[in-house]
Amino acid sequence: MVIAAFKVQKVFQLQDRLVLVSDAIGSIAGFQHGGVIELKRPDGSIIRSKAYLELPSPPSAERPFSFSIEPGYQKTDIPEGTEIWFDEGNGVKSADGHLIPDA
Amino acid sequence: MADTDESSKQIEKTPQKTPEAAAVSGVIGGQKNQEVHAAANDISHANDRSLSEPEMIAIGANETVDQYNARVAEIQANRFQLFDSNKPGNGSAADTGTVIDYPQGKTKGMFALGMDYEEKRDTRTPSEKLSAFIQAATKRATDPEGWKTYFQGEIDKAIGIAEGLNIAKEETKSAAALGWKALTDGTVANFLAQPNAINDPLFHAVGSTLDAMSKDPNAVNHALERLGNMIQEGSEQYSSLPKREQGQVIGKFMFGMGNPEGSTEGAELALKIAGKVGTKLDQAFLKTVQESLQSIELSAHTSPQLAQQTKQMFFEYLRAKGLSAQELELAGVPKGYFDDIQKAHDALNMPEVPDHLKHLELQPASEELLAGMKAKGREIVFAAPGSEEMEYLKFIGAEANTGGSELNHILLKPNPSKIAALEEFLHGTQGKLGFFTAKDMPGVIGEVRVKDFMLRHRKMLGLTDNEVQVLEVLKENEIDKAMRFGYTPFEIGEKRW
Repeated sequence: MVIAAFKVQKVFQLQDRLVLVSDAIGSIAGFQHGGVIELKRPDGSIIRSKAYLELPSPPSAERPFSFSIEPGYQKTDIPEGTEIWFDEGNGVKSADGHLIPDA
Repeated sequence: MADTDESSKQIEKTPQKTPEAAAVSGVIGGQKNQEVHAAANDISHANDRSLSEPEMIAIGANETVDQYNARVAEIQANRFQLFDSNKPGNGSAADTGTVIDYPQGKTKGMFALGMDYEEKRDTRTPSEKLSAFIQAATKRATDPEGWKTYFQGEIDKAIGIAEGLNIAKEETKSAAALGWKALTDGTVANFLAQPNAINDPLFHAVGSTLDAMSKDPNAVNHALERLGNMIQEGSEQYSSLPKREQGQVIGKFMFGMGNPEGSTEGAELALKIAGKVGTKLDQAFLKTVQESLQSIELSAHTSPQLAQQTKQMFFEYLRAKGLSAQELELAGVPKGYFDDIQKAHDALNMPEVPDHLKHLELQPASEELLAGMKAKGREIVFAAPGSEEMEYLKFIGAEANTGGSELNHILLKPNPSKIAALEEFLHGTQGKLGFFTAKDMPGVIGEVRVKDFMLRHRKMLGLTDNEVQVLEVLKENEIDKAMRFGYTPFEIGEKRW
């Protein structure tokens, strides 16, 4: 089942990784550390990448959910408003419904 | 015997004490009489044998001669050995078959049980202590009047607290009614149009306060307890009041502290200072501030620690109102009054804990702790002001963060708290154990489990009571969050992921 349709609201280039802050508040149930996600940019192009949990402290139910993606991307690669698609399983269904194989 | 004869002669020369003198001194005979007694005692016991003499130690049933000789030698080698009578095998001679003797006179007054050495400390067995407790409890239980008085006092105080809150509420209502009149006759139109004017009718704010307090009884109870203790210890006048009036004092004071608008007198007074509306201060708020300062000053004489805690609460209370230093001065807070707390606050980024715990002091993460984390393969980055890292933490409202594919990248603000640093380190450990990958543990449950781990290992981690208290609340928050996501109590707390 696709758990998608969240959007990137902010991107931060940390020293060793690119962190994407979503517009989902709190945690996203089913989001898997190391699972594959699909990022659909406003221009329609798609990036597929493994995604990794960011675990901020202290916890807050009001905090936006954030994660990092594989190295090699820059802030300019992920514009704000980029859609985030992923599945509960090892793979993820893209916006057009096909299953993305686990990378 | 010559010495004894000499003593006897002296006795004859010494006049006996009269009954009156004996009654006053408590000594029946004179000093010479005592000396005669001592001499007679020595003579009569001259042939006594010590119980540790070999001939006084009987061979035991089924004991060989060699075993007997070894036991005698052991006793002779350590004749003054002390035994713990609570240990199995130790106890009276009748119980153990072992006789121990002690140096006479050397430990005067220590031979309460005759055979066994008894130190002057609480050597009672658990059953003896329990027996003493039951006796004491029975005695108290048979004093129903005493209990009745105590409970009635507590009930009166509880009633008084409610009355005090109600008094404050009623004062606000009447003031709000006046304020409402002023609102409706058009005289306050300009006031309401100004920035920072009250946004809602004051009675709405009051109602919200009471509602919030009723929804969080623990927070209120803790606050009441602290305030009650502070007032009780800080004011002799308070202590002399009847319980019911004591409760009223607490209730009124509590209302002033708990009311988010800082007002117990309402819109009318707020309107009176409309010219100073930019300060958002009203007379009732000023009164609360002044009462608080006075109470802290009073309690400082009897309980400096409590006074400091209350000062911390007061600081958080005023800070939550977003007042500037100038506004604080206007409210009567002396310049520099909070410098010590502000300094500590700036030095340590405290986790976002509920308001009623914000006054708790937390340990900073030590250099040793951070070095230990690095030694375990963690990369620790301190977010510098203006950096992307700092902007990220600010954006998500966090004090710290763990991330990266291996969850070994720890991001901290400068001067982190110990529990924040430890938690981030342990998240990395969870990641390395595959909780979030192979075991598919959701992040929200990882948050619960890491806090649970810290609480269970509080001693090993060297956590203070304050930190434990904070972690327990944060853990409960995480459990609530996980439940909202639909996870079951079993998945949250027990499932082996």
